[in-house]
Amino acid sequence: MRSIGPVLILGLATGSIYALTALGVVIVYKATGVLNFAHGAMGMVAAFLFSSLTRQAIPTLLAAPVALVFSAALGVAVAYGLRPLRRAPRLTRAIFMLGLLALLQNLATAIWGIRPRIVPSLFPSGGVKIIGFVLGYDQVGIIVITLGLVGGLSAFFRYTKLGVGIRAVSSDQDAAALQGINVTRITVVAWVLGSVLAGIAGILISTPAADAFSLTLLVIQAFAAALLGRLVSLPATFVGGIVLGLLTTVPASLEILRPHAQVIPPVVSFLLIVGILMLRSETSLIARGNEA
Amino acid sequence: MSRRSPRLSFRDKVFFGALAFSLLVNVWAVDSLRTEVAALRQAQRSGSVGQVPIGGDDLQPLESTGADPAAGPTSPGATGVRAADVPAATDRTGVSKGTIKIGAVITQSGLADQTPILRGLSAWIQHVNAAGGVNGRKIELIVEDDGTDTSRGSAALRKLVENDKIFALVSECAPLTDAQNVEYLRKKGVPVIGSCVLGGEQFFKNPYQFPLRLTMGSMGRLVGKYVAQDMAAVKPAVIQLDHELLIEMGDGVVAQWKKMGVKDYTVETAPVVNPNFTPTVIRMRGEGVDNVSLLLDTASTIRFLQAASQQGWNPKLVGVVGYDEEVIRYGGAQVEGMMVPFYSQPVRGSYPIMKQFREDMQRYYPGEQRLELANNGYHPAWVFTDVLAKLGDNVTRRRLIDAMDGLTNYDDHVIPPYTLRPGNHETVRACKWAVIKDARAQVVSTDWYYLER
Repeated sequence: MRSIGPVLILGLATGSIYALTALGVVIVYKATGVLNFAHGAMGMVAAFLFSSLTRQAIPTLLAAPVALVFSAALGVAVAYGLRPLRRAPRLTRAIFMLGLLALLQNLATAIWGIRPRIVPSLFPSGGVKIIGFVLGYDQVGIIVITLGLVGGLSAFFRYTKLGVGIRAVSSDQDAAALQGINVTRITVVAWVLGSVLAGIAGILISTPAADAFSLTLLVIQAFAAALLGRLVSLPATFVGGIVLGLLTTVPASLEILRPHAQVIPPVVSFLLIVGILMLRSETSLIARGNEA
Repeated sequence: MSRRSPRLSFRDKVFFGALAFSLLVNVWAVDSLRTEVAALRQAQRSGSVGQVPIGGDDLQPLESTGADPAAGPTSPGATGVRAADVPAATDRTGVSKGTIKIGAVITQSGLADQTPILRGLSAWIQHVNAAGGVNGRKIELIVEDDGTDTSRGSAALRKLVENDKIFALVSECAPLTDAQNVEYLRKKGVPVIGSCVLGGEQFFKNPYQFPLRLTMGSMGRLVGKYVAQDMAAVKPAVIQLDHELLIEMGDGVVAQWKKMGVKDYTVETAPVVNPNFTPTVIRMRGEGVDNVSLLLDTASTIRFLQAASQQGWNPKLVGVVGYDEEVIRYGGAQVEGMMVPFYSQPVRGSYPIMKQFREDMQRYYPGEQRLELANNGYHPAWVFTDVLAKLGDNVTRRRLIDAMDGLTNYDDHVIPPYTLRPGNHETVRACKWAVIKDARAQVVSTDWYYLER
């Protein structure tokens, strides 16, 4: 390892990507109890659509909202697709999400091909120099947007009627329905929120290029970060993402591990997932489902 | 608590049906993945530059010395060709009094579309037939599509060989199908003139395969020589994608550096999927690297350029896909000045064959835009008929192979004059160099850049 400073900055930037990806996973889990294995795939579809639109000479600042509207529509479709399974065992819904992952990934492959897509950045080139390392404006943007989303969504769940409704449905759907809450509407809103977050993450982290497989599998790191945040707390998820970023970046900078740098993030994430699940029971995760 | 019935409910059936459908799509996509990988290999091998305008190249034709089959067939025994491999001297499969039947499996549907190659091949064959054929025989061309499906491609290949009884495969380009059927074609003794071959140097030693291009190792050697000699690199580096062919190319670069006494160099292998070049840039900048050869695909090249740009690092660069429109568009300021090798004459050159090519394409396929790719079909077909014409009336597979193996200082005006011998079907190790300037690939020298001369 040459210098720890740039490595830590790189870890921070990488961690913010994991945190941003994990936010949508946490939102959907909080509201519906579904582990969205297709989260990365949903983000990938938005990113590829964004890329296709920009190739048609549509400005990036116009293409991004259009892609996010598509993400919202995808969220609605998933919510209604899952509706017949709302009383099904959790495992059944998890397998449904795995099926959706495969479907989205392979449809994207069929439409856009397997080669990486070039995805333009929403941010200008260049960056901020910190201790000899230049942090790109796109990386700074991801950190700022992620922090903004954490703060905004936490406030949303705590202070808005809709947010409280989502938390109520998350705790007990039947009780929420008896209280006059439209459970279907709440579920759709949660999925739209989760899908749009996946789209935002997909568009932001895909630059300059991304392929259908790596984006889809980013869900592994997202799950690890989300589990570090106990799958319910957004601020804790952000911290979890940063911790994961550091845990993956620092070892990759060691000379002895450099040839294996690319496999370190998924391996570390997988070990974290297994470790956390062994140490915490599922009930302890669900019991905290009402945190903002 | 209610017990669940072990029988599948309607909902379960719908669910498992959807899951099965997803898996089905998955199988399709995996096959697509393999196809795309093959397409990448093909693109790397074909050296199909010229996706962007190439200016400043207006070369004059060189002397053509051609082949002289009359000089007599080369002894196969001296070349490692097994006796069982040698087609019978009287094998006139596909040859009749008035026609010579040739074929090709060319991927025209699916994710790897090589239709321009078919059009280039067909354009030349139509040109030849319109002029009366070769020695009075018309060329009958049968082309099959493998649909990026190896099973379909293998069946199509067997149909061509066993049912249609073709004389030779010309401008063959179905990369996955071809890779699976090398042994089959060898056993059947079918000559292959021009192909999108995969793999390494063994294809160039195959007695029946005449790829009419360079090995990846030779392409790498040319890059290595240019970096060390012409760019005067002090501490060069090569970044290669973790991919069989590009590693072979990287090995060529390093072998050349060793040969030229370059000792202080760095080699890095980048993963095919999602490489992160920021740590690479930081490390190489710290090590004082002054020249980087990028043996990467388009997306990875852009990733590297943006990472280097972000960190404010400006080494001299060589990029094997630097001609790519996306690299030029998204690579940023770092692209300007990047050197780009290409391994065949640009189709806009002034050679007679290139003028003929453009005229034929305009006549038979006026809408075709991908002319560089089309030339990958036209060029081998031109070589095939040129050699065929010299065989006279006695056309056999053995004589065709011997004639190809006897080509000496042969100039087809698309690649530099070359000599082919049994066991070595690689063409002359040479390329041209372009520089990316004003968002265009511009040829910097009119002469070929040779590895050994």
